[in-house]
Amino acid sequence: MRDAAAPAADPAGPLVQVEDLKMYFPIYTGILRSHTGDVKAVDGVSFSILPGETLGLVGESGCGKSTVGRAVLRLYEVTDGRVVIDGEDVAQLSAEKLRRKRPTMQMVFQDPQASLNPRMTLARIISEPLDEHTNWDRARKTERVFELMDQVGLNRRFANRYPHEFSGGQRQRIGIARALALNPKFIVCDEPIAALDVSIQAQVVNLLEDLQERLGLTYLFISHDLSMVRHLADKVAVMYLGRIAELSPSKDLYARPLHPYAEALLSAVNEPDPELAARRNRIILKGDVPSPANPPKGCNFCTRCPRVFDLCRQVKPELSEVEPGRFVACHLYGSTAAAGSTGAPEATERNQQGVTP
Amino acid sequence: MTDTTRPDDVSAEGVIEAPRSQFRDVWDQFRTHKGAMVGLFVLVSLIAFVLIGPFLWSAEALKVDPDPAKMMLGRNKPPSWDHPLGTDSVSLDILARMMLGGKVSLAVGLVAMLVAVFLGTFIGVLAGYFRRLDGPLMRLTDMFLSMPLLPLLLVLTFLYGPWVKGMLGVVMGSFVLIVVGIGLTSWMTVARIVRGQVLALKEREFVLAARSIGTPARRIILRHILPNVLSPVMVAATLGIANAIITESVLSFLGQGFPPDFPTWGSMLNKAKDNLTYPMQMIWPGLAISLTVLSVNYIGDGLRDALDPRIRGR
Repeated sequence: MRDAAAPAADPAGPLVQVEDLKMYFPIYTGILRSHTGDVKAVDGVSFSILPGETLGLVGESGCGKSTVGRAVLRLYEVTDGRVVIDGEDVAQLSAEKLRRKRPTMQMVFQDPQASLNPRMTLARIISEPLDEHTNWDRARKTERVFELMDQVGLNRRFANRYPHEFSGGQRQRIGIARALALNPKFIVCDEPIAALDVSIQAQVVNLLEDLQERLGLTYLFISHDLSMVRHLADKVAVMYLGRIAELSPSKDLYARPLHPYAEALLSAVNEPDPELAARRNRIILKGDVPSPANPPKGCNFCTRCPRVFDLCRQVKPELSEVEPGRFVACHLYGSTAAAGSTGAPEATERNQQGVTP
Repeated sequence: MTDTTRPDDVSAEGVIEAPRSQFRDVWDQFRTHKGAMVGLFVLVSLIAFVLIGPFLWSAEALKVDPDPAKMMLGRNKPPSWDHPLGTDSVSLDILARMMLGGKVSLAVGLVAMLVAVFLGTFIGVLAGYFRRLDGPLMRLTDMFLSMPLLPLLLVLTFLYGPWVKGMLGVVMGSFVLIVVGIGLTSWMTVARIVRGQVLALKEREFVLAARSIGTPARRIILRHILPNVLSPVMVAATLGIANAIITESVLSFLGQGFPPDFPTWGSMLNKAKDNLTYPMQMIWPGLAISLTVLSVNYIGDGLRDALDPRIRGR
């Protein structure tokens, strides 16, 4: 393959390393627009991704998943923290250096309709990255566009068509082709399948897997579809209210979630077998997610945690390795963990919305 | 994938067309819009009438006959072979005056519209895209909107008229003054429309995608934002032409535009208004202004459709 990604300089080191990433959106109130607080969309997130690996990022709506993805690519100016991608701290790069860094890191967007300019043809959309970062002549760009269309399974005859003439799945393929144009090493997939039909979801996910295998790509896969993440990711980070609750290898997490929130979240995954579904324990969390502008003093999850105890309301738990390769931010697993609080109040429920507090 | 055949299914390489230029697509679509084609034909005819006409018809349009008796006898004549559109109140040939005046009126309309649309789009895009400029530029727009425009124009021409006319000659000086004056006082609606559209557009994911590619702001604006604000700008522009022609006639009527004896469609209309016994004198310039505005409107309509790929080919 001509454009197979070169292995990273240091094969052992992570390609992407995020340290204590903070993304606050300021709130201005009053006539004088004074700065009265921040929406802490992302509040101290750390993770690393090895080359060729997929990190799944899951969590409920509004927990800051997408913000992490965008901040990592510096589509937002981060408040604090380091984002080292392929040896350079993206969060600190100057505008021109960042521009030259862009080809290494690309993004696939959630809404394939909105992420394509309705007034540009497919060929122009896919060649936009080439226009920006190469000085190839027209023939060579066309050649590359056709090559990319082959790679993502789009007929070459579609080159002159406009986005509105395609189905959702095809549009997402266009978005993927655009992201691949410059041979990136790292791609942030921001809920790339959320707006698609289930049958199309599988196609797109298979395409992503296939491309990863062929081109050696590294993904940050953001999704709220837990079963898709299980299928695709090597490691999974569960986010809650701007912080990572648990970061574990995918297999371990799905077999035995450690953090109470991860446990509750995973219990929501649908079980195809009706017999098992009838018997399984759904954990129904009570209450709402607190506002990210005013998170709880202690653990972010302490207002809804079924196993909450005093310490949780006082001190924020740090993400620490409790088992080999498994990182959890929970006092239950710290040195001060209260023993014997294993009996979680679980409810047997078939109806997702059956119980209200 | 049911409808995307694998690339190896493509029978011949020749079937695949190379990426086409957008101009061709737009022109192909434009041609299918009947109203727009008629509009284009009418506008081209009007332009030909004012540009080529004077070479074919050389009756006197400016100088009043020095012989008072002859002048008095030739006033307000109905159409005849000597004067196809009749004569006006000082016995000048209306057809010749229509040609001479149309040149100025069309030029004023088009150029003033271009000035207004360019200025409005520029300010609107800056205000919408760059948050820091939004406040100051929109307050400037509000300021211009709240000013009484006609008195402002009159003061402008009164203060700078002699100076500009001294530099560029009477007709050219008046032209520049009127065009700049009208342009400077009618960009505000365009700016507001464009700002609103840009604010909505820049939150769309394709703009974010362009940023993630590393496209600099100026090319994001040119490539992604401007083509998408085209439709409302086009509508504003077509209406702007009519407005400019009328404003010019008002200025000339108030004595601050072109010299009173110099014909424009607007001033001919104004003069004929006081001479209602001979309605023909009013109909010709009125018809010309209406035709211009109508044809430009239809052209704008066709262009807007042709530029929108979602409507194209339907």
